[in-house]
Amino acid sequence: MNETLRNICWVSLVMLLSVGAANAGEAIGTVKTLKGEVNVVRDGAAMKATAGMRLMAADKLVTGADSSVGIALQDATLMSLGAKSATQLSEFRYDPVKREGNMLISVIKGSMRFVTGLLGKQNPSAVGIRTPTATIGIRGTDFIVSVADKD
Amino acid sequence: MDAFSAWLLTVFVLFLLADEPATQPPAGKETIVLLPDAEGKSTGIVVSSQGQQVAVTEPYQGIELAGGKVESKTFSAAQIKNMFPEVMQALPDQPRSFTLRFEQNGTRLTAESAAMVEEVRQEIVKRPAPEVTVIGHTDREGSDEANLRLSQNRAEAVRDILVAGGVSAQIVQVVGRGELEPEVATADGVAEPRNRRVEISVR
Repeated sequence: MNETLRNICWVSLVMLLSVGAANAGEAIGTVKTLKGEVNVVRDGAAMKATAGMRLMAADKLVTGADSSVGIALQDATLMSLGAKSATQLSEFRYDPVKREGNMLISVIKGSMRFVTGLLGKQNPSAVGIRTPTATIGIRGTDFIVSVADKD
Repeated sequence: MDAFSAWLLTVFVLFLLADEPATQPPAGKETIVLLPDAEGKSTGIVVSSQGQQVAVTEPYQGIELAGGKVESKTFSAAQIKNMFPEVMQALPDQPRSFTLRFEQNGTRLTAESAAMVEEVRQEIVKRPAPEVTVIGHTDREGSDEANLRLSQNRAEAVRDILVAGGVSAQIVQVVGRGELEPEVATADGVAEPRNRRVEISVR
């Protein structure tokens, strides 16, 4: 492979890695309350959730039977999960001065309630929620999403 | 191509594939229900699925997705409470906001606002895992940059007052929004005391 192509490959690799790094290390939200068995899956490892625990982009919240969790994101979005549920905070970027950014929440299974925060109030198109078969756009709202599991 | 570039291409392609949504049909039903806005304002969601797009603009209206079908459905508040008891009850409390005002062009609170600080502190203590955002604002007298700095200073002054009152600095976020969000709209350069304020949001 020639010199130029090799350089392009290295630059692309660094750019790909830095996209991930830009989100790394910054808290995007906090666990407020929890009941029963609640875990936060981050980088493939499951951690027991605790009240006050900081959440990062790409974190997956997972609840067991008779369990639930309530969280708030940095733009004051409120969310809760019911029992036997899993939702991922797939993307979250928020500038509190400009109130700009974007968020994507992925409901994997179970139930999730979502109340729009400052990001959605200023720019509804910046907020997306998806389920296995649907995508949801908002207009300043409070809603529930339920995805039935096989069991 | 050599081994290095073959490896790089595989990594890039795998990354893209990992992002694709699952292609198998869903095992069960999906239900999406709009709830009333806490302040009674108009609200709505748009659900896109199976090539269709459905808007829901009335509280307790919803969509059921099953076997490739998209159906509108109406629920009652009682039904929602029965179907989703935990997720309804587990939602954190709505944030509560306080507006504090300043004497003239500095960072000294008015007497009325100084008295509000205790109420703020009590709200913080009431909540599990509390967080506070202190947002400074200015009127439009002065440049945008100067007002961003002034609003940041005001917000920091209020943060310091909260910390002196026992609130942990770690849970307080300070934001200066300059002239971006006046309470009372004015032309640029106009002094307006009502815009010189700090908003404290407790969640």
